[in-house]
Amino acid sequence: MNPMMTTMFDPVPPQRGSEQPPRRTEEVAPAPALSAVERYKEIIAIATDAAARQRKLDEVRCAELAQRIAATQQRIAEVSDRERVVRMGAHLHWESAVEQLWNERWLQMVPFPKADESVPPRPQGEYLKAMDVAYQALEDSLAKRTLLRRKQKD
Amino acid sequence: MSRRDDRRRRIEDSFAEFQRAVSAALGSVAREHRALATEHAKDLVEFTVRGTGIDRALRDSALTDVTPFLTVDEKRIGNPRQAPLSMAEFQDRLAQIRHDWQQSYHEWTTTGPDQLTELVNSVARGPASWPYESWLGHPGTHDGSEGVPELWRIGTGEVVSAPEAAPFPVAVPLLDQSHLHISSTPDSRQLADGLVESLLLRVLSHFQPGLVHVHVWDVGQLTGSLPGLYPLTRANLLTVHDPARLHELLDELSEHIRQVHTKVLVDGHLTVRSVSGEGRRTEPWRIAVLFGNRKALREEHQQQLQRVARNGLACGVQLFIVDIPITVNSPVETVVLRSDGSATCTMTGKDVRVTLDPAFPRTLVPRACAAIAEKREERRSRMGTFGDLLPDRPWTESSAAGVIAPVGFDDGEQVCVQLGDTSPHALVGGPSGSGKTNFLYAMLGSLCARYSPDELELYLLDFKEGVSFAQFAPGRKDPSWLPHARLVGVNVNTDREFGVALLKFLADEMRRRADAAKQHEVTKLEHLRAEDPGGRWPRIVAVIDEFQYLFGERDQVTAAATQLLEDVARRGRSQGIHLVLSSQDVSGIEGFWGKSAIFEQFTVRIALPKARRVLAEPQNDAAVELPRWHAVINHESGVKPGNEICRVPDSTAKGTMDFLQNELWRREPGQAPGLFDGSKVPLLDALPDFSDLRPGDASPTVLLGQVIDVAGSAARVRFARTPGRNIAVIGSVVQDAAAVLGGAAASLGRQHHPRGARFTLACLVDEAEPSAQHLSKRLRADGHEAEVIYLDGIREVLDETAKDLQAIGKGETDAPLTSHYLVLYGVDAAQTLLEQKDPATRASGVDSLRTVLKHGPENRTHVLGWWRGVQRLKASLPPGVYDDIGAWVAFDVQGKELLSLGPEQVMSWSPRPRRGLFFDRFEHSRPQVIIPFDTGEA
Repeated sequence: MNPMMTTMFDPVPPQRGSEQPPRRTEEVAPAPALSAVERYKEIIAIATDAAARQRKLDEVRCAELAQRIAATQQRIAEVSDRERVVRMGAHLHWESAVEQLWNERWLQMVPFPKADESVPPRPQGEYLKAMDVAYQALEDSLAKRTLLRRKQKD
Repeated sequence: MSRRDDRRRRIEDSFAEFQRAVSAALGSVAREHRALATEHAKDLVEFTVRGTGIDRALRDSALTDVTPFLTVDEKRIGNPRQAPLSMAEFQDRLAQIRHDWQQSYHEWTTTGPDQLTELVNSVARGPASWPYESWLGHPGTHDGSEGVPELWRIGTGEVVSAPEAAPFPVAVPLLDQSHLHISSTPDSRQLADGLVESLLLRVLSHFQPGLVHVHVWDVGQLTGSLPGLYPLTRANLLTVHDPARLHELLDELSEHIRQVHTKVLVDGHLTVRSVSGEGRRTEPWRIAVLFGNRKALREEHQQQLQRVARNGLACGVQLFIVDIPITVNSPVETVVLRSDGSATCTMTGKDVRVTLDPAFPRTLVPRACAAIAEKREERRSRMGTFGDLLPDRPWTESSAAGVIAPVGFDDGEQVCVQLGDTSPHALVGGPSGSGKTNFLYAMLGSLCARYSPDELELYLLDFKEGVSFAQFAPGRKDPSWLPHARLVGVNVNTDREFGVALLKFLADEMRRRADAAKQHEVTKLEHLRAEDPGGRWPRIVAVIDEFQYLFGERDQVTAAATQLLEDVARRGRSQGIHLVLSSQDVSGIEGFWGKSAIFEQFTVRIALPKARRVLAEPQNDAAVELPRWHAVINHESGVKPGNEICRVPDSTAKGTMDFLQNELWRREPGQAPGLFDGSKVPLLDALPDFSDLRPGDASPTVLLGQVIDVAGSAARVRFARTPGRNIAVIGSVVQDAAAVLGGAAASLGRQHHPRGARFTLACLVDEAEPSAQHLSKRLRADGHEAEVIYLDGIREVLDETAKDLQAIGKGETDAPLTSHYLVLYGVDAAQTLLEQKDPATRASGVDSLRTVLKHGPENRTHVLGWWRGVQRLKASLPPGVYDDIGAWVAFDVQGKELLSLGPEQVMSWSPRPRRGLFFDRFEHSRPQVIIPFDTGEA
């Protein structure tokens, strides 16, 4: 007796060649079977797609940003001009006021005021007007004495 | 308050108000400016980050880190610069970018790495992907029947641009699927060596030792590449090639591919894998590792390498090409190693950074290889028993494209015989004692264990006592049979007609298959099986041992055999009918040498020691020096390059083929094979043709003996009511004659209802008496009247019967309703007696006999007579007129003497023991050889 052969025939496969194929087709899903390599590359493609999607998104956003950056630069230039004009106007008023106050020796002089950014947001014109009005008021407050003096002299 | 004070206060107030107004005007515009500037800065940062790519920006030190060097101003204000990406102002923008990033990668992050891990785990189990601890040092067990792991792990990958670092396994396809190309830099070459070694170990440890052979060629060094694998050389599993002789390796691989194409890839198979199907891998893989130095190969080497690459995968040749620039038009995966040790590979694309697995521990690798080599050696020395020829599970293979069976071993590897469309028939040669029987048993055992009886049928015939196929048919000692055997012919010796009958049967079957194929509009059995999956179309292998006997004489048997053999040999291939002819005698083969048309079809040549003329001599003399128990298997019509020498295991010892037969028989016995044993006498009562006889037919059938055909059918004569329906048995031996007469009368008895027929048994020679008595008893048992008369009564019976017949002829009486059969033993013994004339009528007994012979059959009176010679028969008949004897069986009579009774073919008849020549002039164009029955008399 060949010991190899006794063990060999123990697991009897139930199939016979002719019956097998139909049963097999029932079990297997109709989708075409992908090889593992194809499947692997398919999964990797999710990451590749994601990278491409992100790149595309970034490109679109960058184009948008580039436009905005250009527009903002324009506006910054304008604001910067305006700020210079405002500063210049303020200096002129200030110098004029300092000159007029020169004779008021009792008055403790102060340096040029610092910008106060905490003011409520209003159109710049209002603030400029307010500055003009304040200057006018200062001028008026100084001018009355001169008038009186003239009257007294008269 | 004075007016002056009042004025001063007003001035102070208005001045303060003025200051506030100036502050406000300046503040308002400054704020607007700053807000715009901030927005601008944010845009710029976002633009920079997105432009660079978030993943790269986050790794960019200019954006994420603060330089330790401070400017003078920064030192002064003690407020060091902040890194842009850590500044609070930009956090919202950064958050948005991150959100987009995560969204883009959402699917990958949530499923990608997990799916890859799962995939690799499922298709690359064991050494193909697991950590070395679990397998290194344990030789593999897979024989290829469970397929090849589709992926083999090389390292860990990470998508660098993804928001979350999630590592996953990186694996490449190898064997049968794709070559591997590795390119490294001088700094990373060591990593490349490690990668090659790891992959080789994974492959070598997955499969049974011996299924993978490694060839190494290194342009730089003769020894030293892959030092850990050196123990494999001991078992011939590793071959290191000379750096200067790349062409030798490439030639070897090309030759191997050529051999696989001619020997293995037959019957339309494109790859070794499809040939092996689900079974054990028959052809080992060869992995060729080529280490270059980043310089292109010489043009001719490059071209040859491309050819090997193109055709190699299908033939099990796998290339690992390291640092050789190549352009290949075949599947190849590439791993590119950078100087920093990171890698990219074509499996994962440019977005993935691959970190190769660390090389296996230096000490374990040689040990693992030594274990593989040892196992291989052990296997090589162990392989070689009959049991090793058999598959693990029987009857699992399909014979659609052909049959393949290992018959022996060469260096531990199985050597197969293949019968299919391109190698349709086999010729086996070897003088007596060379192990021909053993070889045939090994082949049959191997075939039967692989293919079920629905896939393979066997027709086995041996002409001489040499090989015995008797054990494949049920016997007295062993009731089992080989389920595949449909016909077993043993001791055929002089019954060459049986060989012709087998060939005729095969030719008919071939035509039947061709017709079926035509109906399905295909030409080959393989396609017919595909078109008609429900049909039963097994391949047929017919083995004829000592086939030269078929052509032993110059007669019509030889002529018929030659014609049929040619037919089957030429056209059997596409109908799945394969012949295996074996001969111990050179002359048997030489007799055919002239008929090259037949022998061209026998492309499979198997030469046993000292066999001559089987291989293409004199160029191929491999059989001359073949040691005992060996065989040359050649699938290329015997030319030298086709030689495969193998050792054939003992397949005739007890516990080998007989054990297998018993196992298969118990598994599914099927129908017992037809047995034709030339030394045995067919038993009348066991014959289906006899037991099928029933009363009721107006023209009863007489069975005279067994015809030599595949079905073992009976020789028959119809007793119609027409003239000439008498039977003569001619011969001197009572045993033969009594067997024919007994069988004939017994078969007639079965076809009449009790008392439906009258038998007169005339025992005219003494030695016939036991037979007559036995027959009489048998007929009486059937309910018939069976009178035994002797010499003294014969005259009276004949005269009376003749008188009755004459009366009917003259219209004086009606024809009798009951049949009357005159069974006459040794008619010629009564000749003298019968010749005496009746003094009154001047008529003799011979006249009465002639009347009975002439007018009996149309009136249901038939003579079944035995004459002891042709001349004696003729004496009983009218001179020159012999047509009252319509059928005859001749035994020990020379053919020449029979010429007047039958066609010219009877000339070639020469008497042989227990065989008769049967001719029925109403039905036959040529006589048939028959074997008389054993009527159970003895």
